[in-house]
Amino acid sequence: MVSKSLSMPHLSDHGRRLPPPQSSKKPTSKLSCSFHRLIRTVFRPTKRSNITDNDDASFGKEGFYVDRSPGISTTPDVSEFDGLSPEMRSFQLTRTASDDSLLPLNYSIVRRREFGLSHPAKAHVRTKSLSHPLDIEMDKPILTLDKGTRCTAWNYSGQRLAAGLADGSLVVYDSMDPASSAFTCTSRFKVQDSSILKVVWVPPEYGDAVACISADGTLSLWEEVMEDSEGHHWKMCKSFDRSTSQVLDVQFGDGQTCLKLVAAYSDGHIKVYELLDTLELEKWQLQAEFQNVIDLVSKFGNASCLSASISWNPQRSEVQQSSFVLGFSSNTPPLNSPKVWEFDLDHQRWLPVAELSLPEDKSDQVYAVSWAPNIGRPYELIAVATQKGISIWHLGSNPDPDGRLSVQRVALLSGHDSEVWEMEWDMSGMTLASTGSDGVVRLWQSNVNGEWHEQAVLTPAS
Amino acid sequence: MALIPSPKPYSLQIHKLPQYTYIDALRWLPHISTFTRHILLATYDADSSTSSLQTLISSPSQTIPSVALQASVSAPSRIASLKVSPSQLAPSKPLIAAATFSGSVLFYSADLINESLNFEFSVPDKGFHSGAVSGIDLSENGSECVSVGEDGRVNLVSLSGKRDFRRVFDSSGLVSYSSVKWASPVEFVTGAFGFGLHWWDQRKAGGPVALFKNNWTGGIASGIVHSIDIHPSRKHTCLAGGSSGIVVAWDIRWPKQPVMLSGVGAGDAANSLVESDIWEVQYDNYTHSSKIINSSSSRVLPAMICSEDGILAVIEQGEEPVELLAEPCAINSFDIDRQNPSDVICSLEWESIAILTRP
Amino acid sequence: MPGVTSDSGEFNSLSIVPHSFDTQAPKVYPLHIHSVTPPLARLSISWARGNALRVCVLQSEDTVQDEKPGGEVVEVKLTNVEGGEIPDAQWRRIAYGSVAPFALLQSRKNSIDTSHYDKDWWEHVMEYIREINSLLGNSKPSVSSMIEDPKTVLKKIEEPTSLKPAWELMEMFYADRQSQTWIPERLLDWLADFDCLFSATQPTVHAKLVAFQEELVTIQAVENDPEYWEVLSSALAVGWLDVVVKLLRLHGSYLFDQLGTREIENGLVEAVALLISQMPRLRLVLPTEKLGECYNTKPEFMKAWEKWRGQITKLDCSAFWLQCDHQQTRVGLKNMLQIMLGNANVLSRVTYHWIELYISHFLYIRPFTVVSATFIIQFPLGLESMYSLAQKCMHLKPISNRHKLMGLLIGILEENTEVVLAECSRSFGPWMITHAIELLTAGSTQAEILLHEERSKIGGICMEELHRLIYAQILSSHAFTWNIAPIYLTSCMKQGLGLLENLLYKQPVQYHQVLLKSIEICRLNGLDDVSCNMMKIAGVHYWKHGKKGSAVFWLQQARDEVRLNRIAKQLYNFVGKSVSDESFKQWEGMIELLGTESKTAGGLEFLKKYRDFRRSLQQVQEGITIDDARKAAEALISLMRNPSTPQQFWLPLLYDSLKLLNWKEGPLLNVSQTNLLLNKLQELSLARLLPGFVDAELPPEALKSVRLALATNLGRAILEEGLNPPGSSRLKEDFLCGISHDSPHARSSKGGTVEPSRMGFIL
Repeated sequence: MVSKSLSMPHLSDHGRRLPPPQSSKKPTSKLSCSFHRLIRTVFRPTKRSNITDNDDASFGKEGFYVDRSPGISTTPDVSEFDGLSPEMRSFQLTRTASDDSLLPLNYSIVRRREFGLSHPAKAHVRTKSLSHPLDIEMDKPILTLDKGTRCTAWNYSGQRLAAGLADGSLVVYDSMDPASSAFTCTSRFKVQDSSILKVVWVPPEYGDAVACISADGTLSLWEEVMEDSEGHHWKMCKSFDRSTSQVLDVQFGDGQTCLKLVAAYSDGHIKVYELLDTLELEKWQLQAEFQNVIDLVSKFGNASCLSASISWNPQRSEVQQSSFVLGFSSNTPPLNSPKVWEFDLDHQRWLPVAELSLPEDKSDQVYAVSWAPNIGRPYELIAVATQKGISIWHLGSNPDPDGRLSVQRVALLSGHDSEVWEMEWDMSGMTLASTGSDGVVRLWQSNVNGEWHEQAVLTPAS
Repeated sequence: MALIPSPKPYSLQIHKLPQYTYIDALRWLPHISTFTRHILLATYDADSSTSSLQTLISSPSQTIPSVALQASVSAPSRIASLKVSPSQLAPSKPLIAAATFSGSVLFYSADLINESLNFEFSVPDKGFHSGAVSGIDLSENGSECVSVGEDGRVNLVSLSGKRDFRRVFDSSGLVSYSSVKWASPVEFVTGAFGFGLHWWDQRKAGGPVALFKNNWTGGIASGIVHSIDIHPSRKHTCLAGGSSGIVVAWDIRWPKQPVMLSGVGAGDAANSLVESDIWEVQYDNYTHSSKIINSSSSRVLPAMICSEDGILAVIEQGEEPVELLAEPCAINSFDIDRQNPSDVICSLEWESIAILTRP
Repeated sequence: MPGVTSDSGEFNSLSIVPHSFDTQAPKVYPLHIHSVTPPLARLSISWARGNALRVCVLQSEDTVQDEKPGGEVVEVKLTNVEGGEIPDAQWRRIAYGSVAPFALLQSRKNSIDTSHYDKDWWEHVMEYIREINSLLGNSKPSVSSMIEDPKTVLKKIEEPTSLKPAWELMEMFYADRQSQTWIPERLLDWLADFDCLFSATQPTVHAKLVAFQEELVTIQAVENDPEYWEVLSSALAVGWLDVVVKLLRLHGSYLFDQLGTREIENGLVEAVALLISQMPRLRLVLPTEKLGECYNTKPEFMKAWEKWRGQITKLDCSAFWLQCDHQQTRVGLKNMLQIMLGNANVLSRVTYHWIELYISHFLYIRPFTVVSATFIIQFPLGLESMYSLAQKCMHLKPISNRHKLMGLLIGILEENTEVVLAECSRSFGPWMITHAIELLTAGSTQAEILLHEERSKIGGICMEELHRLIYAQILSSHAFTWNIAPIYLTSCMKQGLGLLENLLYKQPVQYHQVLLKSIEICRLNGLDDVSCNMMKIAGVHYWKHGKKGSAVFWLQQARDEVRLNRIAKQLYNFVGKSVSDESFKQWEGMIELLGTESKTAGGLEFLKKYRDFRRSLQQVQEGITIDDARKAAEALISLMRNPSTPQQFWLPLLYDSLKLLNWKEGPLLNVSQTNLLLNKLQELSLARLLPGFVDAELPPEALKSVRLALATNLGRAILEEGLNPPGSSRLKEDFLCGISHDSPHARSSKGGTVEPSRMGFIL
């Protein structure tokens, strides 16, 4: 309390002081009598209970005034409530904290009137004012990477980082403790000779393992195991046979029932592999192979793709069919546009159920796609990055007669104006983070009105 | 939130002291004077991701016990388990054993007079345990320390002479041990996953001498034995607490009839007390005279428990449990002051400790 | 309309909220990298738990210096509170402390039907508000008690966080219905507590007082110091009567030696002091340390006020002033009277911050301003007059940079809930908005409708839920607070559980403690399949990392039969396959683990049968009783019958039990049993031809001896069952001769029950 803090501690220092006022009242000298007269004149009760007009006048002259209005009851807009005002005025004046009984009565009336008035007018204010802006609390370095690191990947819990190096070796960093953000290198081993382009963790239900895509386009799986002879170590458990074309991207999906692996190849083909044995990552079976086109009949021979991006539907339910979205950056327009593939149980095949591009943009090369986690939205949310910018798509949940899902582009966001490297949704699917060749991280959000906008930019600075 | 069972004038006193750091484990240290108490904390600071051992000094004479930091040393890893043994030679220098998640056991000596914590030695990690050391216990005379781990190893560290360990047993991961307690200078009991209780005797090598069949949950639930206690006066009975609120007393002499004190299997009022993990159990020496009289040798002594769902309570065979504390957060560990059993300290999940003084 | 009016004229600076978002360019934040220098090869991003974003900055190759690392990872925590004011540990303490009140209120809200104006509902709300408030109050009660250091106490008073004042503002205007009759006095107290917060940015009465207090020690005759009188009138203007009176009593005329000469002067001082200490105040309670006379009802107060004013006027025009020859005193006191008489000019002269002027107006110019306690219900009625006055004061005392509390206060006064909410979330962060929503919805219908209206644009949730989700996400980004997020998530009807599942899936379950605590959360929220999945992950992790025991345990808990069966197959390769093998001891523990589980053990249940069989067999080895032998034989048969018995065990089992097969005191197995074993043996010989057959490492003659034993046993069994069907005897004879002296012609002998194949097989 300020009053306490200012309680003049040194008051006692001036010791010679009287404790007034009592002691000063002692009737000693005639002066003191005069003093008492003074006190009396001031504090004698006046006959008139209140101040006279000329008092008021004198106030007026000296530019004083006393506003005797009982605050509210004279405010102009009470007239709005003609019907109520008398009862309410009395209500206000006589009100004490105790009587709540009156409340429900004029509560409803007023409430209705009030909202009739204010709702439309306020609408625009609300939409703007009620958003959840971001702000950076702190940024702290948590680990430094070995020389020649080309790509990194965090595991499901963010406790392990796998880094692929230019010399084709893989480095794994671990934190000793779930609460700690200090990471140390726990193992480093050679995967192959050519540089590692991409590392992807296998879902944790299948152990601590990663898939490595190397510059020569080979795909191999490495797993951390403990054998009685030597302690923990990483061993290669599968190397997918190097076909004529290179692997561009790979993603694991549907961790629940049976592990699936989707690989996109430079010839525009998509291969889906299935794990045969839940406990061994050695045994894989090619489940399907197709191209990223809507009409399944047409085939494109000499397609050459620079990059591909795959994103599984993060939903973990058995009921929902596993599905993923995939887009290419190739010289063959029909392959490019991102398409949502869903597994059709009845015919045991993959079907394209949606295409995420406007008719005029179908041939745009796709940099990245990212499927947002859905914690209860009635629709799915997918982000697609092309050279036109980042577009946010709503994907309907129930298919139309011919099995297609309704799609709607809700936003086209320009920011990176250059290649987009990565996009990732946060765990609630509310914020999208993206990086691009402009060398910054951008964060995107929708406000309460459903308008997507760039919320923040993180620029690396030494 | 403290729930005080009886609003008597001389009722339970509870004081919560935020520590602004996570408490991994805590213990009372032996008294050196009647005016002061010393508390040993194993803390973890997430902001700096450092763990440390601290001795706090508190003066119970005051109405509101205040604690002040006395000494602190940083530990190489988080502490999984903490044990203290008074040293015969220097009563003011108790021995401290701390098991780490990184798989080593560290030994310190606290100098309560000169207000310092001194690192004595640590067991060579090479081949000691792989992975966390889940439980340790110091023998009564502080000459030996037994350690168990999820890797299924049981090791004995000798504190006298050459400070090295010897492997008692290695199940090579087929069994995962979670807790251990000395029963006598040569016997100890280990708790394992699947509610396994094993009785070991150093004189008989090659494995446990007695296995406690885990049928006492009636197969309703399986779980982990988080904590074991054995009363010095009744070395044949071992008290075990673990998953789904189960507390059981196992008398080696009647292995077929375990006594369920709490938990799903108990099937009486007791099981409604706690349904979540029981993190620690200790025999509660602080009982009213009446109880001492009518507690026959066949009867299990009262025990104190703390649980994940925030209960600190005293349970006794065939009696209603007495809640000392009911917190909105987990109570991860507690300790009863041996010399003055009315005093209890416990560590709350929310970075604070509570000091209880019982009437 | 409220909220629009504020956008006019020079108030733009004050209400930045409503029109900030369309024109707002994204904020740019520097990402501090230490070891890496541009040019950068690549940025890669990953969301950690909650709202923590990990940015991995990779050094580009072409700038190859050897000492340089390849890159570094920076973790960024996203939140919308302007951090720094409160250290993390303090934030966590507030977060922990507010869980219980929040949860309690939610449960009560669910129990009570929605009639919000129910009496005890209000008590619940007030209890909630008080508990939260106490939480914000003294930042470190325990620590200050732990370290007995008065400084901390002082410090605490000097720098309260802006959370508490914000909370109290909303409390007094929205929730505390008893205070609403005396809002001005509440504001006065509020300012008294928190004026210091504004001192930082601009001059305030508080700042002046503090400054003067420091001088005070040195000054001898305070009354000669103009500062003294300025401070006096300033303090009086904002109604810190106790301070004023204390200061007055420092007046030199109180000194013994002075008393004689300066009695009139002293009288005047004392008169003013008395008047001040008798100032009527319209409020329910008056703390003892505060001066003035307290009146609860407005009529009484008005009467007292008139009387008091009368007295002041009296004193003002009394003749004694002429006799007071100390000039400063006369002027100073007169000035104070002017303040008490409500001279607007003087007031604006002696106050600094507009809020101070505002308070002084309430005190001396518009003493009868009463906000009816019903204003809450009839938003936006009620605060108009207060708001217009506030505007007037802000005109008179324009401020360069606005404190965030002002934004909140204006929002409240202009009765624009949107602004209030926006200010809350923007200036005070997710914690504040999440917990203030309870208070707002309880107090204001407008707020309630605004906050509970479902919005398709944000996925069909309401604002309340949105803010809870955001707060929960911030909680989950810290390893210590993530497990209180569920409390807030479960209070979210639509998307709470979804987010909770995602949160749980991100927990590092290979850590024992984390796993157990996560499972507990699942148990409390009925997320069985989630906990199963986590146990699965843990089980697989342990299995791959050599902790077979834990692996089997967790997979059993997860009822994951598929994996258990696979594990069983692999385990059998480890199991020693002969009785003599000591290593089998190790398995005891594992078998205990499987124990009498009602839960599935998958293929592992074989281990138990196997163990039992070995036990009995061992007994046979040692002490020989016919019963033991019979038991062992039974065990053997049941094992061989059991489909879950892996093939590679058949031969070893039989080999181990040779002793049983050719048992001295007659056969232990009857014909049918022996046939069963023979069939198994045949299966085995067929299986041998298939690829991937695991051959048991046994002495080469093992198979032969087993066959022989079985044959012998069969024969003796047939003899046992004996002299029934005719013809069987003939067979028996040449069968036996066939065995006994293993002669070629025995092969030619055809047997009824023993078909050639079998014969050939036996030999």
